[in-house]
Amino acid sequence: MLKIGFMGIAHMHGYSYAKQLKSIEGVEVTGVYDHDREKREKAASVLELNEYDSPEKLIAASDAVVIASENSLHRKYTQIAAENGCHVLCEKPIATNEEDAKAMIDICEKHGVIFQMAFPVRYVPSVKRAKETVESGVIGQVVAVSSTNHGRMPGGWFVEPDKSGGGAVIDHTVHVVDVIRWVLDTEVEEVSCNMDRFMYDIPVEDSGMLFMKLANGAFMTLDSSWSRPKAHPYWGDVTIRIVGTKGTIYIDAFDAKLEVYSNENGIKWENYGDNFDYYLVRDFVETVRQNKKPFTTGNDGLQSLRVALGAYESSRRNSEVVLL
Amino acid sequence: MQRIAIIGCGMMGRVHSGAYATIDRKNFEVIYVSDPILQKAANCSEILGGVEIASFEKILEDDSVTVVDICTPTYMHKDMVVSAAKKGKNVFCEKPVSLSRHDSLEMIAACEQNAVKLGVGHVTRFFPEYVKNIELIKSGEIGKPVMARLYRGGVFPSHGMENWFNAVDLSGGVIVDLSIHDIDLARQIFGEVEHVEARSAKLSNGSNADNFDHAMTVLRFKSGAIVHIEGSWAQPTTMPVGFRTAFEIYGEKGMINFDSEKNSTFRVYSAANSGGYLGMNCTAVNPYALELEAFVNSVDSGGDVPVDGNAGLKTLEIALAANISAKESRTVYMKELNLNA
Repeated sequence: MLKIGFMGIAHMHGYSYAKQLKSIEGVEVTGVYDHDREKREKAASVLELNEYDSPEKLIAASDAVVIASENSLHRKYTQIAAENGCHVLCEKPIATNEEDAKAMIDICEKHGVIFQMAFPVRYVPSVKRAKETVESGVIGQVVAVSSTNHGRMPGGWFVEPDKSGGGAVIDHTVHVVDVIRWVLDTEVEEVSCNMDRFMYDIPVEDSGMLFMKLANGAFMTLDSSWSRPKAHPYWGDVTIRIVGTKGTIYIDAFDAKLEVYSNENGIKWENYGDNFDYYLVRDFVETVRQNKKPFTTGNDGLQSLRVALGAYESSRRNSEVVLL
Repeated sequence: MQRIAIIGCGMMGRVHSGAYATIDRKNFEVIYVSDPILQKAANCSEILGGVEIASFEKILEDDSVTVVDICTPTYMHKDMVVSAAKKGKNVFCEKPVSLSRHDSLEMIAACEQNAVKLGVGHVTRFFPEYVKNIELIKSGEIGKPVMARLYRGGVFPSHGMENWFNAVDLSGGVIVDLSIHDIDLARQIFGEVEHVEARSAKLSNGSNADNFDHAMTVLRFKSGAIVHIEGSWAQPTTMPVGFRTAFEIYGEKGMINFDSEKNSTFRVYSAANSGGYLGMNCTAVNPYALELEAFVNSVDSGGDVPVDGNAGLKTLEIALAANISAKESRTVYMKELNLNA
């Protein structure tokens, strides 16, 4: 039996991971710790989990932890886990600054525990197919990528920069950047970013537009904004257009949808597609069981974070930032 | 532990072989594939990693076979299902269950008398978009469902052995073979049908055009609900995507829409696909695998069959009524059909 606990449950993805982990044979979800008593009580009751009042007690009962706390606490919890021989699945972004991210990678290496990043979009079947298609040469040489990761404004700690590290840009940039690094087997060389607070009265930016130069010579844009109004029928999107010299690939990861028009609940889309979170946690479980190198490593977390941090620096300096 | 034989290695036999190949076969194994055309049997055998090829007769005589999966053309279903049941084999039979009420009743009776299970391949019940649709309706999202428009169509299925789909007395035509999926869905949502009005190019217009048909069926349910079903084997072979399904479900308090052509998680546009694009399924779910796994589990556990012979017959009866309506250009009441059986 593999015992997995939840170290912090401030991020809503934690709820989904917990539900999916419970469906996997041979996995026991041991319980939940959060420094915020209200959050851990709520999670314990909704997910029917044991409640722990300290990280140490949770770790004593677990072989591995999912860290779904505020971003700024990832380093602290990773350190406690690693020092106690506990494997880690860490919510994105890996941290709020480069120093923390590097320290997390180092300490897990030092103690020989697995550190895996939670990048669910890598598990999207159309993304995997895109990688195969690019590698087959069907679309020729990739010259450009146009992408979006839209969402609704989440509020709460996500808009408190000391906890989140920023707004929409740090929240959303890392998903698509990670996917493109993998699909095209390249790195981001240069980033520039325009960002602003357009729609909400919050202390962080709600919208960002990144321009990137990739090491393989292609250029790329990414709209990572909380620009989805509440009235929109779906929470957000991940779309990626990969333009090659001989063809184009278009991904719309969440387009498996029914349109629902309800007089009482308004208009919404209901997704019937695959559960990417399930694929992600199942892979983490297999990685731990077989003690293998994770599909998404700490370095993947670090590299995508560097792009997001570069975007902020670019916005402050009003010029492009060289990353490589 | 169930031991399965696949009978018929045409289009559906290949689809089933591919589905079994994706399932974690904990409580069953596929031990035979069978087709009079050896090359077709060999193809399915290869998909399943070299399963033995045997004749239907030999499979019936092998007492270790517990399940036969009938993937032959519709007009062969009845004899094969009855003889398999008499040998004590559980039967999974592709849809439509047969071509008549009489044949279907004989199949159901043979399975009952020999205490074996009969499942019918109404696979749309396992497609994730249809599962989600039923969930939403049951949760009350659109209130009481009152109307629906259901569409399913594409190019003519010219892959059939000796072009059997083209012969209405062998395939039942586009309503019995294709729209039957939507009739099954409509039954799931709306229950019992009162009367049927249908027209088809082949049955109503006296059209002799080969490899072509298009039909519209309007169902009036006992609840009062009205359902429009359109089925097509009339799309040009040059269509970029060969097949489309769509549904609109209207409730007293809302509606649900789906259109397979609008949804697309992945497209490749390249010189290799001139004028169109290459897509992929919107989900990794294999509905055939779910369907077959559910049937095998019901055999294994002695539980209920997801879609049994009676459910298959109820759906078929509506399709047959539609054929009569199309042929005679009049409204057909379900009760008159039952009286004549």
